[in-house]
Amino acid sequence: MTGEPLLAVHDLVKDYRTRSAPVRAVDGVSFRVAAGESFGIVGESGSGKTTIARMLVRLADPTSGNILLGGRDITRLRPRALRTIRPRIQIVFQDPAGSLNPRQTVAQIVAMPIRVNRIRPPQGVRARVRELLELVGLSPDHDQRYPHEFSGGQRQRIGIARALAAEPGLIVADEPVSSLDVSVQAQIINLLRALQRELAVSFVLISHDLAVVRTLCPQVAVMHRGVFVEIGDRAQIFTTPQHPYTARLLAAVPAGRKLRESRT
Amino acid sequence: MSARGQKAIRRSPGRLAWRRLRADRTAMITGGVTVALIGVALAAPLIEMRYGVGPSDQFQAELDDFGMPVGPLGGISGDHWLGLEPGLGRDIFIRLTFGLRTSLTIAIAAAVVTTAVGVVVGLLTGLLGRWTAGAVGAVIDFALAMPFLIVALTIVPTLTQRFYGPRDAVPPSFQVVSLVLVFAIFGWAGPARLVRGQVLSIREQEFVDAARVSGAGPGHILGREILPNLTAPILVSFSLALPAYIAAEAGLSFLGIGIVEPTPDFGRMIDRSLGYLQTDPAYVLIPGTLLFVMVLAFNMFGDAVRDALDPRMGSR
Repeated sequence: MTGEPLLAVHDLVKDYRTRSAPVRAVDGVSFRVAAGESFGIVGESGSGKTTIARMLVRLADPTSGNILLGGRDITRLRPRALRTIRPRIQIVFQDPAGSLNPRQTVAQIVAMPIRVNRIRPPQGVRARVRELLELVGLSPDHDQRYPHEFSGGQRQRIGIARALAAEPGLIVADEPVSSLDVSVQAQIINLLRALQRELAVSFVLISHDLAVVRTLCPQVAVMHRGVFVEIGDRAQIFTTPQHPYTARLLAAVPAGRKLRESRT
Repeated sequence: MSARGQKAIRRSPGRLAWRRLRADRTAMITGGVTVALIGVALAAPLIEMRYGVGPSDQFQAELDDFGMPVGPLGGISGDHWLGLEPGLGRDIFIRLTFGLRTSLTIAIAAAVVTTAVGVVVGLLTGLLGRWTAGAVGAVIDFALAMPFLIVALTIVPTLTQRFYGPRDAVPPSFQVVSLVLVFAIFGWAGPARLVRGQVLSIREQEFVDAARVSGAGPGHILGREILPNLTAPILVSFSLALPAYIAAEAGLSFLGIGIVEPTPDFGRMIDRSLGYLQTDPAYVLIPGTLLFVMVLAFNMFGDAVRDALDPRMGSR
């Protein structure tokens, strides 16, 4: 946790070209995440959270700004160099169904990052997959099943196992629980917390749900219309919000509710 | 379930589709007809041996003075199960058996070639940049807009004249190849457009993003992530192309291009039989009915395969 942060983001900007005028989805966002720490981003739909997630894992190209991973600028790497760096920063998607190939078994899905990056010798892949499934709370004996045979929460666990298979230092979780039932949400949050503790992996957790971010991330940013209106310590932001938007966001949470119900 | 233990719970998408197909009675009946017809076509020389009559054997002795077969329904008898052709006196049953061979050879070859070309073109354009994909899309639209009959009626005779003189005997293999070629020129665009559309939609799915984030290269993404999701549309496109090519081949032969005498062929047979519509209606009806039943069975089986494979129908 000393010296170089694991992830440093400087003045990240993303414009989307539309038919009328370009839309600035992310407008000059900067933050740092230390190794083993977690960083939360809260904000409403359309505030630019997912765009940040996609830029961090280099599925989208930033218009300007830099992303430094372990001190190395990964913003403008060539495809070949980028592919070697990719396993170090993984993503867990919001929709656990769409992010799993329906034609592959769980074993194939979880083994994919290990195979394409040759992390283990071929004969060691199967054992590693079983180990990962166990780690995320799935039965290793179900490794020959297909995604459609699992529940939403189990599918999200498969997605987490796949992200871990690449042995990343950082996992970007984009609304990892918002498509799940409330009871299942808590289980997944607990799993993420346990993984963070045991594997010392960092998370960038993105959610519209204050409670989710609050339980996992000591550092939090509040995002509104493409900018961080507030960034800092979780205790400070949740008790004495400085920005009126943060105050509104906090006031909008029904009293006594820790996790809100899923929307869809 | 429990008796077979662990095997019973492995429900791959393919297995589920197979189970749905097995439960569909129409699929089983039309599938049976399809398999039986292909079996007859494959076994044609064996049938000839057992039956004792070849496709070119003539039985002039069994025709009357006007060249019409003697006996009921165009001369149906124990020796000639479906009667004789008026004029030449050839056996209709064995000619249909070999006609099946001609028809299915061309239809299967055409379906395989067009589907293969279509899949390759569709996959590549699905991966190329927007500009190149647009250009190939224009070529596909152009191929789809070409008038099939006019071009076919021009190409096949021209091609034949290019290699053979007016009095040369054109070998059947050349006729088959030129027909398949014509079908390929027209037929690749349909599957290509289908596959391209599928690739464009599948590559936007998050599991493809996940593979990219994990460091997978284009080969892995194309072969392991996208292609397995294309087996259903490819299979459906193939199984519906088959009856279309059977009908198209018969149609072209009926119009007098493609397969010529003495090779047995449905289209030619129906064409010849039309002159005997009043004097020997059985000669018209028999090949017509077989062609109808064959195209219908292949089509219905193709539909059943599509229903079984369509993931939006089952429990997913």
